[in-house]
Parts: sequence; C-alpha cells; structure tokens
Amino acid sequence: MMISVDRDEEGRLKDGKNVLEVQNVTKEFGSLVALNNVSIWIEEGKITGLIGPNGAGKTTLFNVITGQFRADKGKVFFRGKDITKLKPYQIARRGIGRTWQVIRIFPNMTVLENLMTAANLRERNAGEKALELLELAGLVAEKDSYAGELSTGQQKFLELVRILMFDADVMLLDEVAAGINPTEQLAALELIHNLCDQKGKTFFIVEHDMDVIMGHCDKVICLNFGEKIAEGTPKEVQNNEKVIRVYFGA
Amino acid sequence: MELLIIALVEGILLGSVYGLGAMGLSLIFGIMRIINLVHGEFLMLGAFTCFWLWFLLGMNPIGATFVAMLVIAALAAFLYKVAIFRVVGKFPLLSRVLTFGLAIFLWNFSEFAFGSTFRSVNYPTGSIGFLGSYLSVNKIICFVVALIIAGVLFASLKWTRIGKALRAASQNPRVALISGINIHRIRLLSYAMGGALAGIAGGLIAIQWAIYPSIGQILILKCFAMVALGGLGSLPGALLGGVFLGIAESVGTMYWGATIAGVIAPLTVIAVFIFRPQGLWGVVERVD
Amino acid sequence: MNKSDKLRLAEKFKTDKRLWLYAIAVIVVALLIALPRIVSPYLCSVVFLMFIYIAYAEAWNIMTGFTGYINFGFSVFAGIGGYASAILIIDHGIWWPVGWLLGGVFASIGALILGSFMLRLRGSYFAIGMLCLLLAAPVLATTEYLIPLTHGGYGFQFVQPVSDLTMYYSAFFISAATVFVAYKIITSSFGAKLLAIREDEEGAGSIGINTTKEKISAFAISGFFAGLAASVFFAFQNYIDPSSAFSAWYNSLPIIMVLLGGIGTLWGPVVGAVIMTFVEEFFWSVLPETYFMACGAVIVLLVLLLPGGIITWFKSRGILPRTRAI
Repeated sequence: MMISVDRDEEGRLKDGKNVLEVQNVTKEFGSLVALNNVSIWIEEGKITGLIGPNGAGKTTLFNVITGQFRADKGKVFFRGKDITKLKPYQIARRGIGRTWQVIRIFPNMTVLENLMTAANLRERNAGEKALELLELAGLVAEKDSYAGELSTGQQKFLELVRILMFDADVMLLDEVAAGINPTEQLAALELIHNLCDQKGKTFFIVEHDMDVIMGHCDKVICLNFGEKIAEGTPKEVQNNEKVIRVYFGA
Repeated sequence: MELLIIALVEGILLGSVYGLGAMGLSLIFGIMRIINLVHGEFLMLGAFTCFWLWFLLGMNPIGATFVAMLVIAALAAFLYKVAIFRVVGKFPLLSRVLTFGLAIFLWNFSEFAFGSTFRSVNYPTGSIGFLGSYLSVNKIICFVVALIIAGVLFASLKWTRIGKALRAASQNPRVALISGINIHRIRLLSYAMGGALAGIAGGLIAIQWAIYPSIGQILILKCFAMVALGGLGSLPGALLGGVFLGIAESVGTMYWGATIAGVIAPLTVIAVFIFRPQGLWGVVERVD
Repeated sequence: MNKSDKLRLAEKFKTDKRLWLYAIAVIVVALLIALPRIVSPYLCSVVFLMFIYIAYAEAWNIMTGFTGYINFGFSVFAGIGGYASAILIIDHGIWWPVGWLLGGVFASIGALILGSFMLRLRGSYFAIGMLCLLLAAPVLATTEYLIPLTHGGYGFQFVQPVSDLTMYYSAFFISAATVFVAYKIITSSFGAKLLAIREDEEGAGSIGINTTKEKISAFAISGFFAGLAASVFFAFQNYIDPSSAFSAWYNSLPIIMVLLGGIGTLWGPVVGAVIMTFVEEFFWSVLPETYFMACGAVIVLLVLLLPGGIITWFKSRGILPRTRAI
C-alpha cells in the first residue's frame, strides 16, 4: 500500500484532510472505563471499519462522536473544528449522521414522513428530495406505509437514507449488515460503495461480519476493553497479533 | 427564635404524617414506574373512612386509622385488579390519564356522597406547654404512629423475603422478572401497600385537620413535592422530603401567611425537578 | 385486509369521496353560519361552547397529541389568556378584537417562558410539573403582588364587550383557525419533527432536530389558541376569577375530548369536542350532581376500552384512510 507523503509520523493526514478526528478520548461510567485514551482519525471519502468484541466500546465511541455522551477527557474534531461539547442535533447539522444498533426509525409514522422529519425547514423541494432518496433505497412503493410495517432490511435502508436527507457527509453505521438477509446485505453494501465513490461520502462502520470488514473497508480499527489495539489496512489488522488473540483467544 | 423552634417542631410532626403518604406514592412509582395520580384521593378517602368510623360507630380515631389502612389497601387492590394492571408498562400516557380519570371519579364521588362541607374528628387529648406555647397531644400521637409505621415498613423491606423481592423489583423490574419473582403479584402488593400507607396518612390527617372531598387535590401536590425532594422511587427520601416540606410550610406560614405557604409545595416540585431531578438525597433515577 | 387493498381504498377515497367531502363541508359551514337565524339562542350558546371546545381540544392536541408531552396544565394558558384580555379590555379600554388577540399573544408568551424551562423535564416529570403549575396558578393570582392586575379573588364581573352574535361568529372563526393551523402543522415537516419527538426524542436529536426549539414552538402555538379561545369564552361567561380561570374542570375537558376523538389525529379533537358538548349539556340537565363523577368514569373507560379514540379506531379498521389529514 502506497503511503502518501503528506502524513505525519503517526500516519495522520496533514492539512486537515481527516474529516473526523478523535483525540485521546476517555469515557467512564462509574468504575467502568468504556473508552481509555482512544485516538482515531477518519479520512474523507473512505470506508473505515470498527471492530472489537462485545463491550469493547464501539457504540460508546459512536455516542461520544455524535454527542449522545460527552467525553470525560479528550476532544472530537470535525473538519478541524472542535465538536466535543455540541449537542447531538448540532453535530448532526454539521454533517455527521448515524444509525443505531437497534433500529431507530419512527414506527408510527409513514416512510415518507420519516424522511421529512430530517428535512431542513427552509428547504423548498424537501418532498422531491425525499422521493429521490426513497428510490435510492428501493422504498418508493412503500412511501405511505407505516415504517413499523417494513421488513428489518427495509427499515435499515430507511434509517440509512434518512441521514442523507439532512446531507450528512460522514455516516456512522452501527451494525448495518446485522439481522438482514444476504441479498439485502449486498444491496446495502453496494449503496454504501456508490455513495462513497460517487458522492464522496465518508463511512465509519461497526461490523461483526469479518467478510464485510475485510472485503469493503479501506481501513480497520480494532478496540478491546476501551482501548485501541490495532489500526491499518484490513490485511494488517487481520494479521495483527493482538487482534488474533482477542478474536481467537490464542 | 422560640417561634422558629416551635415552627420547626410543628413542621417535623406534620411532615412525618405527610411523609407516610409520599412513601406510598414513591413505592408505587419505584415498582410500577407509574405516577399514581389517584394517590390524593386515597389519602382523602382514608381520612373520610377514619372520620365516619369515629362519627357513626364511635371508634377510637387511632383505631379507626388502622381500619382505614385496610379499607384503602383493599380499594387499591381492587382498582389494580380491575384497571391499573392493564396500563402498567405500556405507553406512559395511558397510565397517567387513567389514574387522572380515577382521581376525578373518586373526588367527585365523595363530593356527591359526603357533600363539600368541612368535617373534623373531635379527639380531645389536651395539649402540653412548650416554650411558652402549646403543642396538641394529638399531633404527638400521630407523629409516634407515623414513626412506628415507617419503622415497620423499613424493617419488613429490609428483612422479610417479600420485602427483598419488592426492593429487587424496584431496582430493576426486568431482572426481577427473570429471577423468578412473580412481578404481577409484586405490583399488586406494592399498589395495595401504597394504598395502605395513604389510608393511614389520611386517617392521621383527619385527626389533626378539617377534611373535605377536594382535599385530595391539595394533598397529592404535597406528596409530589416530598417525592420530588427525596428523589422519585426512594422511600427514606420521601420521608425526609415530608419532614422538609412540613418545616418549610410551617415556617413559611409563620413568616408569610397561609396563602404564600400554599405555593411552597408546587414551586418546590418545579424547582427540584429542574435543578436537581434526582432529589436532594436520591440517586439518579431514569424515568420512561 | 392486506396492504394493496388498503392502498386501493385510500386511492378510491381520494377520487370518489373528495367531492362529497367538499359538498358536506360547505353545507356544514353554511349551516353553522346561518344557525343564529334558525335556532333558539339557547341552542346557539351550546354551539358557541362547541366552537370553544374544538379550539381548546385542538390546541391541547397540538402540544400533547403531536409531541407526546402530556400537558396537565392547559388551564394555566387559558387562564392567562382570559385574564390578559379582561385586564386589557376592562381596565385599559382596549378595543375588544385587539384585546382578545392580545389574550392569545400573552398566553403564547407565557407558554414560551414557562415552556423554556418546563420542557427541559421529560415524561412523568413534565406531567407532574405542569399539574403543580396549574395548582399554584390560582394562588399566585390572588397574592398581594398580583391583586392590582387580577383584582384578587373578586376577579372581573363584567367582561362581555359585544353581542352574543358577534361572540358566536368569533368563536366559529377561532375554532376554524385552530383546526386549519393544526392541519398545516401536521402535514408539514414541522409536524413530522413534532411526531418524531413523540416517537423517540433521542433519535430525533440524532437526525438534526433541535427538539427543544420544536417543542417550545408547539407549546407556544398551543398556548396562543388556548388563550385566544379562552378570551372569548370568559367574555361570554361574563366573569373571570381565579377559580374559574384556572379551573380543574376546563383543564380535564380537553383531555377527555382528545382521548375520545383520537389523540394525535387532526379531526379527533373536533369529533371529541362535538360529542362532549352535547353529552355535557345532556348530563347537566339530567344528572347535574353526578356529572363530574360520570366524566371521571368516562376517562377511565376510554383509556381501557378505546385507548386510541374514535378516529384511530376507524383508521385501524380501514373505514377511514390512514392519512395525517384526517
């Protein structure tokens, strides 16, 4: 793998090309240290994977980035600006969208309404934009169904395109491929790649399925007990001793 | 200074009785996660049960208070079996509106049945001199009864099997469910116990004050204030909150008059909720 | 009934029945306008109350039905509106339409101020907090600091500035305006944001919804119509004092009406208000003593038997299409 010249000694992109940077973040819940001095950086237009066993702090890291939790120590930067202390809605409006481990659409609202919730009030063609996004997700026929009536896979697509409704550039997806059938998984991954390649969107995904991680990510980060234990290309991480020990107990 | 001490003592005597009612509200909230908006009517009906037993049968008011406890506990159990159990753990709007409707029903039932005149139990026990003023023995007897009841309640929660089950259910309903505790019986029991506490507190109130059907509306407000002060779901907190509110009201009445003292309870609730939602002593409780 | 059947039904409804709906709407409106010339003043006063109740119920629905925040303190805003308009019209000689409008504005400002801290509370905390506010309001209105404004427990005894007929048309206009605004809200993305708060407030924040701002906006709109309708109501009643302004009864009435018709729907509050108006008249005349008791029992039965209300029941049976516009 080519390493371009404008990186510092830690491999960090210089000149603010990292769209998202987490610097030395620590988050504690009582005596439990969920994140311990974690630093990561996400490159724009790339797919970064986040792996680690249950309880490693993956979702906590997402929650700190999107403002659901406030970091006890450390900072989060988005496009070079400190967003550590912003509220979740402010962070979303800056351009960071997320999905949740347990799907969080609004079940008693129609599919179209689900998208409209994320529309900017001043936007004139919100309706058209919503329909375009539904086409992208293959949900046009379901636009007036209640979101709670959709299949799990469709709900995941809905949750995904809802982020696009407010033009998020960085998307944090928590287990996007879990609990859906293989066909839908492929479609979801294709959609992610398309958004990445054609629209320059950045993805940061938590995933348990190693095939997804190895086959689709540009970079992989591994957490264990709240600490970053490995980082690099999928190959590098796959062959990392610490990662092997965590995953295979060897 | 002496006036202040008298107000403090009066507040503590009053607060212990209030606290019993608030403990019932807190117990129900802790276990079922619903705000029992009928609680004020339980207190009012407890007071009327005590009054009628004394008035019609000539019972000793303290004895009547214990009968009121049983009557209101039975009423609460009945309401739970008929209606409340259907909304526990569901969309919170339902339980709030259901208990609200029950409160309106019971309040106006009492208006209809008893009329809105003021009534009071005549229980002459005399008074004792205290710092140049007088304290009625009634209040002291009520205080002692309240303390005994609170003591029995704490002891049984701490040492009996069923008490331990109640505490487990209060801390985490889901864990209690999988560890083999019959959650429906626990809920029924807690609701009936909440009713019992309200029945006793109501009886003790009837011994000290004039009572009337709409008193429930005022009493539930005081209960909210105490529970807010002590932290939703905390029993010792509710009792301490009761003493705190009793003192605040009796000192407030002394300095600013009864009208202003009447808004102490509601404004306390709002202030505590906004600035210290976990109560003055309580731990953080997640609601909904 | 499967999904495609439902869709077809909705389509059919749109094309076939829309004309019918318009025709019925025109007839109803014409009838309501002509009513004072047709029926007795007594019946007119009942219909006047109906308009006020529609506005009350829809105003309560805009807050509680759309955002899910249970407002147990509705009368606080009705009371502020009623008092503000009475003070302005009686004590300051302001022209009555302006006075009423300002009644709404003051209630709305009250909602804005109270909402900006009360709406930090969630779930049970908010419900209890609002109930406490309601119970504190009449006491505050009679404190010595506010007596110069509110005239204390005595209140205002002659508030009615215009004829009953003008009142009737004003109430008609206000109820229509309230329903229209509710319609505009629920079919807009603002309405979608409010519903999102009801469904999942944390999730709503994560997709860029400023939940605090949207909630307070809904609260202020709800307060405005509550205050506006209350201004006209107290003018009609011709007196206002602390116990009537912040009455527990007018606080629970919108709750009953909205639950009966269908909470969170557009027409549910209207249906509930129409039914309750006539039920109330009937009960008052038949059993005045047990009236309030009966209402408590009605709330209990509604929650247990028909928790979604009439409109929601019809929608779930496919008798009405499941659109937000109904």
